[in-house]
Amino acid sequence: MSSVEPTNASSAVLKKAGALALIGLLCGLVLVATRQFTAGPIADNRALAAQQLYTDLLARPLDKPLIWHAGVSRLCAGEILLQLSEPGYASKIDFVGLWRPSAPAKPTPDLAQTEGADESNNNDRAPNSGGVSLRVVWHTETPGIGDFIDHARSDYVPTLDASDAATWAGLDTISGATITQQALQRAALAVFAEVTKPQIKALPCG
Amino acid sequence: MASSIFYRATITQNPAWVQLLGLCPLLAVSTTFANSLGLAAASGLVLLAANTSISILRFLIPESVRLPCFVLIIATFTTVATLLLEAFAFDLYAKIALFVQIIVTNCMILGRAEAFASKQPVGAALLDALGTAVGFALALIVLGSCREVLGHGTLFSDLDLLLGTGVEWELRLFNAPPLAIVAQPPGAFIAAGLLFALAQACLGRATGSVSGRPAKTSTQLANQIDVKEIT
Repeated sequence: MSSVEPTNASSAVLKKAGALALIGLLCGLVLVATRQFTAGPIADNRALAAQQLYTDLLARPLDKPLIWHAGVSRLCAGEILLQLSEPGYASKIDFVGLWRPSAPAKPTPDLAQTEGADESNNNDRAPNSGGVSLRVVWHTETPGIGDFIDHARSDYVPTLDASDAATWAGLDTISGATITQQALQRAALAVFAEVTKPQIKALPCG
Repeated sequence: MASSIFYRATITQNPAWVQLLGLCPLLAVSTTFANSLGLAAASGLVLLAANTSISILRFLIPESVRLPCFVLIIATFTTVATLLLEAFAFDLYAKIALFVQIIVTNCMILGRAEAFASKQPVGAALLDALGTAVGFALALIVLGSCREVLGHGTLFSDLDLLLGTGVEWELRLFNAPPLAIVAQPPGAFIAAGLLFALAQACLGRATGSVSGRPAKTSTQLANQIDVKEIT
């Protein structure tokens, strides 16, 4: 009697697990078939949306496709585009950031003497002297609370276009969406940090 | 029999104005007619596919693991709806994707699976799903239309996102929004409350119920449906 009960119990567990596995398999097949059917149009739509996003960020049409090296694209006009992710409130937030060099400012004579700056150094300006613009490519932040980072829903991020590091670092906390706002801030500051790296400077432009 | 299942699911047991189910996406997305139509189509697709699948698989699903199985099936069809929307209505997807993804948690769909589809043959489950989907669509579209007209002064704006580009559907009915708050989240609650009250009043008049009688809760209604459907 005692040896029969465990057998019955384990067969019941196996039956339930088998049913779940079978339904999981069927669901997986449905998803694979749908993915096969929609993969092409989705890729086309995403490419078009990305193209519009870069055009919007650069404020000029792109005459040729961007060349990406591990999420970084250096344009011959001096700008650098970066794809990056930061953890948000709901899940990761995918950003694209544009660093644009600021116009070289001539140092005052006093400043030049104090800091030992000269004309050649002035042309090789520090990357973090430029401005950073951000756009959110993908997010699942709470609608109506954290989705202010989505440029399609709010002007909050576009109004910060080409802001310097100090502006991004000094953003006021947004009540109720602190984590989302901090993700935005971290992404902008990460762009400033990335563009100073020598390997980024060494990338071929395209 | 078939028409009574459909009528009950659409009107007398309407998921929105009688059972008050699926209110989160209903209130959040019903800002325009086009958004409402998009969510109604996505919810309808998930409901039809999930109810039919669950009815077909009902003898295979063990009683004690039925809820994980239902959620797995509903999540699959929600993902299918999201993929289809992203592939063929990308602009609309960009606007309402977040609300399409949370269809998986919509109690209306899980409720119909648990109360009806898991106990009924495929034909009846399909009819119930169709009726529920039409009822939910009706509530969404009426609310979306009212909010768009009062909150934006237009009707059918952005409908080209759903029905294809090249045709301008937008009708401008007012130069300025007559009641802009209706387009905002607080206005959604007010407009939905008034519309649901109107629907209840019409429903009460049609069925001859005594006014002032306390309304049944959604749990009471679900139990009532369960008893009817089992017997």
